[in-house]
Parts: sequence; structure tokens; C-alpha cells
Amino acid sequence: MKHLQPPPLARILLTALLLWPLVVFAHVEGGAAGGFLSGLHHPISGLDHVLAMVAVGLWGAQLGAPAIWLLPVAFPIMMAFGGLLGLSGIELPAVELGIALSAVILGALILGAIRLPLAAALLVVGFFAVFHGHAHGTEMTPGQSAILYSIGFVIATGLLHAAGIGIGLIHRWDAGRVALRGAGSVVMAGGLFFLWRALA
Amino acid sequence: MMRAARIPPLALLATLPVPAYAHLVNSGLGPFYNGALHLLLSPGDLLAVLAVGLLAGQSGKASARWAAITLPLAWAAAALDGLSLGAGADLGWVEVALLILLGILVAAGIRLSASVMASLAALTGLLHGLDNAGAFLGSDSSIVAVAGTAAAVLVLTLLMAALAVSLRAVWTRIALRVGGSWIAAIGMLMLGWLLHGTS
Repeated sequence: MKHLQPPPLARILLTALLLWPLVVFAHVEGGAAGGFLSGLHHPISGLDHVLAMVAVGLWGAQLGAPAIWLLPVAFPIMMAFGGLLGLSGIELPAVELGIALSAVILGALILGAIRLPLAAALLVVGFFAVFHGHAHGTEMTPGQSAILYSIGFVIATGLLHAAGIGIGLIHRWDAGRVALRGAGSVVMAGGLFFLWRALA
Repeated sequence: MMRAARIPPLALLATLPVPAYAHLVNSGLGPFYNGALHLLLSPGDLLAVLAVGLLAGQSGKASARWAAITLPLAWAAAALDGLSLGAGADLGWVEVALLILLGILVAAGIRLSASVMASLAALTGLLHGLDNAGAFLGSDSSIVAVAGTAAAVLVLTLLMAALAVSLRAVWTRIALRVGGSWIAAIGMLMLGWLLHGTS
């Protein structure tokens, strides 16, 4: 019986892989990469933020054009405005309450499939985005690159919206519309939990 | 010696010169490529070029052509001017304000006339060129390095503008405007960091 032998190239690659030195990750990321990764990580580090940002995309998809893209355009700008306020030392009252309320309100709007006028929808999203930016936009580790942190932060926020829009596209099917409203109830429940925690 | 010994160590520490890290990165390929690489490794400058390129492309072919001419030329002229003066300039505030404006214009889907676009591109080039002049001071062939940066600015502006001009599908035009909002948002956060004293 003939034994199956791996081809010579595969044997060489396997040997090289086994002899490959292990990289030591005993240090925190520093410098440019650290700033970017830190910014990229921040918006996804808190479930309250994730819920609200995905909800913006879900609601946009439910409302359809032009809200589907205007809401994700308005959110980062207003969120950065919140970050600007925070970095300027201007305090906002009840930031955590505002973040939790954003998930409750956006979840309720999706659950009820409520179609607000475009200006009102932009106002709701823009208002809550300020709280998210104020809380997270300012939390950079000292010594990291501020611009790369900001780039990572904005990209992560935008991708969360995109994820929400992607999920929200199920709205075109009857069953999808029901599922989307169900997703709204999950966002709302999460928001209520964070609201309870903020008030406790 | 006695007098020096009386100087508190902290005062001595305070008088130590601060090292400058604004020099060019050595690409190993000579000053031209060092200059080109300098742009690619400076996120603030890179973002400004992307913003001008996208806005120029969004504004149409004529505007894009003028922006592709004026941006690298103004960049090079300002950098050379800074070199002749022997120093760069800290123009962070104005650059960030301009970046926010460029981002908002892209996000709003505004089409600028060729003359306005050329002026905005020239202003961006002047500010960033002057700001970067300090980086070229230590270079062996600073003029060649400036040419390398200007060439990189030209190539990137052309690529971005060509990309934006060629967008036809609705969703791609929307993606462009979303990109503009991201640029404006990054600019706003940068303004915050400048106010905060961190950049």
C-alpha cells in the first residue's frame, strides 16, 4: 500500500512554519497603530453604544431613502460635535442617561415602525449622537496619536451604522419587517437595562 | 563650576533642548521617495488631499483638473518658501477648520465651480506645504524631497478625483457623501484635541 506523502513544497512550508519564531505580544500597542486601534475599539467596547449605533442603521433602513443614508451622515458629524464639546471641557448633564435613552427611543421607533418627518428623524439622531461623542470621543489613552484615534473612532462608528443598514435591508420582505420590529424591541430592552443601571 | 553646581537639577532639565521629530522618514530609495512617503505617513495631510480630491471629483471634470494642478503646485511653492525662510509654520487650527469645511462640502453633495475649487485646493496646498516645510529642512536634497511630496499629492488628487468623477450608481454617490461626513467628523474631533492641547 502506497503511503500518501505531502508534496515537497508543502513539507518545506510545514517545516518553516514549525520553526517560525513566536512573536512576543508583551507590550501594549503604542504609537500610530495603538491610536488607530484604540479609536477603532472604543465605539464597540460598550454595548450601550453598539445598540444605539446599529439602531440608527436599522431605523434608517426602515424609513428608506433618503433617511437610510442621511441618518448615518448626520450621526458622525453630531457625534464629533459632542466629542468637541467634551474635549473643550464643556460638560453635558446626564451623559449616561442620554446614551441609555438613545437606545430606548430608537428601539421604540423601530418597534413601532414610526415614520417621523425627515427633519425630526435627523433631530432625534443628531441629539443623541452628541451624548455618544461626548462620552467616547474623549477617551484616548495618553501618548497616542489623536488623529489616528479620531480616524479609527469615526470608521468604527460608520461601520456599526453600515451593519445596522445591512441587517435592516430585511425590511423588503414581509417576514423581515416583523423581524426588524423585533430587533427594535431588543434594542429597546437593552436601552431600558442601561437606563435602569444609569439611574441606580 | 561652583555656580553651575548651584543650579537646581530641575532647572537644568528644563533647559534641555526638545528633540524634533518632524524630519522625513528614510525610505531607502532617495530623497524623492522620502518626500513621497512623508505624505503617505502624515494622516492629517493625507486626509486633506483625499478631501480635496473627492470634492474636486464631485464638482465635475473641469474642477477636478484645476484642483489637480493647483493643489500640488501650491503645496510645493509653500514648502519651498518655508525652506527659504528656514522654518515651517504651525497652522494646525486653520488646516483643521479647512478639513471640516471640505468634509461638509462633500457630505452636502455640493458642486463647486472650477475657480472656487481651484482656490480651495490652492489654499489647502499653501497651508499644508508651509506646515510641512520644517520636515524638509534636515533633508540632504530638500528640493527633490519637496518634488516627491508634490508628486504624491498630484497622484493622490488625480486618483481620488477620478474615482469621484466616475461614480454613477446612486449608492456610490451616497458612499461618497458618507465619506465626506466622516472627514468632517474627524476634523471636528481634531479641533477638539487641539483645544484640549493634544494633537
